[in-house]
Amino acid sequence: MEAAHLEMTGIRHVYGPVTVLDVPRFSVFRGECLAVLGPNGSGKSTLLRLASLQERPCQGTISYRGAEVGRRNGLDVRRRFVLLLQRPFLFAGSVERNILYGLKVRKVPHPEMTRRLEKAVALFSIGHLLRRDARKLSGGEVQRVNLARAFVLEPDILFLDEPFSPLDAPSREELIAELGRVLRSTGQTAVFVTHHREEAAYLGDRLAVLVGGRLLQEGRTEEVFAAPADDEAARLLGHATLLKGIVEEQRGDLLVVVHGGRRILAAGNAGERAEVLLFVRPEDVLLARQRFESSIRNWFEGRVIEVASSDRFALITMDCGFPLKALLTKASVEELGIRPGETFWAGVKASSLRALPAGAGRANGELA
Amino acid sequence: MALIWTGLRQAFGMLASLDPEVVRAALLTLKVSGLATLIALALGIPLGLWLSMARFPGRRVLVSLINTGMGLPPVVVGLFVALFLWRTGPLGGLHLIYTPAAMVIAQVIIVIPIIAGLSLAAFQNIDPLAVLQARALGASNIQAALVLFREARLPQLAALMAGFGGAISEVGAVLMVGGNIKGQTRVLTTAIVQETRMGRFEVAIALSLVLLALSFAVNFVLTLIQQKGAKAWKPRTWR
Repeated sequence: MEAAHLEMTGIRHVYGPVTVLDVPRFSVFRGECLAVLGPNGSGKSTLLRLASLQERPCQGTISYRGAEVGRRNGLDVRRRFVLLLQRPFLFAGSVERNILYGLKVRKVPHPEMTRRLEKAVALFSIGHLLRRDARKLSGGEVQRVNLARAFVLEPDILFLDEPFSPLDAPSREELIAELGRVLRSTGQTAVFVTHHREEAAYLGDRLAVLVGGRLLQEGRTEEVFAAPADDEAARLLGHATLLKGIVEEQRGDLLVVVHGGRRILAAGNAGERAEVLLFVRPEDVLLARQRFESSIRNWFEGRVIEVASSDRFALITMDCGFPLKALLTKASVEELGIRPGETFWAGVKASSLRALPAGAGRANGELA
Repeated sequence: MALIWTGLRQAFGMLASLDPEVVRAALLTLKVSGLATLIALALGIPLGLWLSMARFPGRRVLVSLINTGMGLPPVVVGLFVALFLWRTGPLGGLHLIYTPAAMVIAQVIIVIPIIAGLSLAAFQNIDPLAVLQARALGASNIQAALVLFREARLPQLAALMAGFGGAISEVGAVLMVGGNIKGQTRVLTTAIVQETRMGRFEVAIALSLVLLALSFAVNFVLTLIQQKGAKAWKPRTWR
């Protein structure tokens, strides 16, 4: 594996009596977009502020391209990075002044400044905004200017702290797509912090899951989504149904797990009598009036408790002896006549039901 | 009433003929108060900036002292500056008493708290994000502090106007340390006091008009700068 671009080792950071971050190792590689997913208060922003050298960690070292960052080279290395704040602050004056600010503090020569300005302006199509008063922009325009203000610096690493969270959903999706396009076309190394798993899935080449100031898991995005390290990571990654069972036997890649006197087939590896957690994503659950012959190995009969609809989808909560959530299109909900109080069969493929050793996570108390 | 009319008529006559005494007092006033305001600006704004960012024990006491100082009685300042500059005082060797320099020193002391206090309030009103944003874009700590300075430039102009207003209208301190010596340390305010005492109301009125006009002219220019860009746009509202 190539050497890390930026490497943090033995990082501990406290605010008063509270340890907000305890990360033995955190690496960023050249050319990747690393997404850090975590709930609010998990220490994501702190991790980002430390990694982007905005703040000095209480303990631990940070090295950049193999050289340790210290007081002597701190400002020089920090100037190779840019941090996009969650709530951007636009300086008084024109949009152009805002975009040029970072170049001016770095004392970039004038012709180079003009060249970079033109490039950044074209990248985010904001030419028409340059002369405008930065304080009179719409939310989406502010974010575009903010992105241009960062890209104009051509940073070695771009750090983004939930940059689009104040926006409405359509503008956010549009900007995420735009950012993804620009990141890929420029090969920009980026670290992106978010609590939206869709954003993490869309932008991240690699994904790190941060909960309670600790990294629970790190790996290629699709791998992390497919196999969360524990129940907490599973919940964060969108696996809504979690239950606990005892392994009866291992059959190849599959486990026979007993839960409430019922035998369930799940993907995973564990020893006999081991306690495991089973989880499934709502979109992997199928509902039917009657069970039918198919490759589906697990069928649970249950009563519909709740049907929560959005524009196109409905999240159905069933009581199958344990709470089970299923995500269906609204059309299928109407077609099947799914209403609270009715009884349905829920089908889950063994490969969609993942088993993990219990006790790895912390919030087992809430499990069925 | 007749006294006022006669006074006004004669005053306009003096102004129209550019009475040398009035012109001299006006020029000295501008010089002393202008210089005092500039010096106080150079000291007061960094002091306000530092107080808005630094955290140390005793900071609140210092801020309270500055806020009290915004209403510092000029005669008290005059007394202490006179005591220091008196021929037998600690700084008597500088021979500054009854010179324009002494008047500038006294006014600087009066104006510094006004400018420091108002700019401290201005800096504290700026979103703390401004500094974080500057650093996030690569600013050094000093460059980030300068952002505050620019963000707060409008309220700082207000501080400048208040400071200059305090200096140009002040009479107690300049009288005590300058001595109101005709042709040397006589400024508009001290001249008005003198002429009124002597019953030469027309001269006092002429001097007052000049003082008001000077004060207005300076503030008008500063206001033009301050209000530049403030568009006359008003949202349509009910009632």
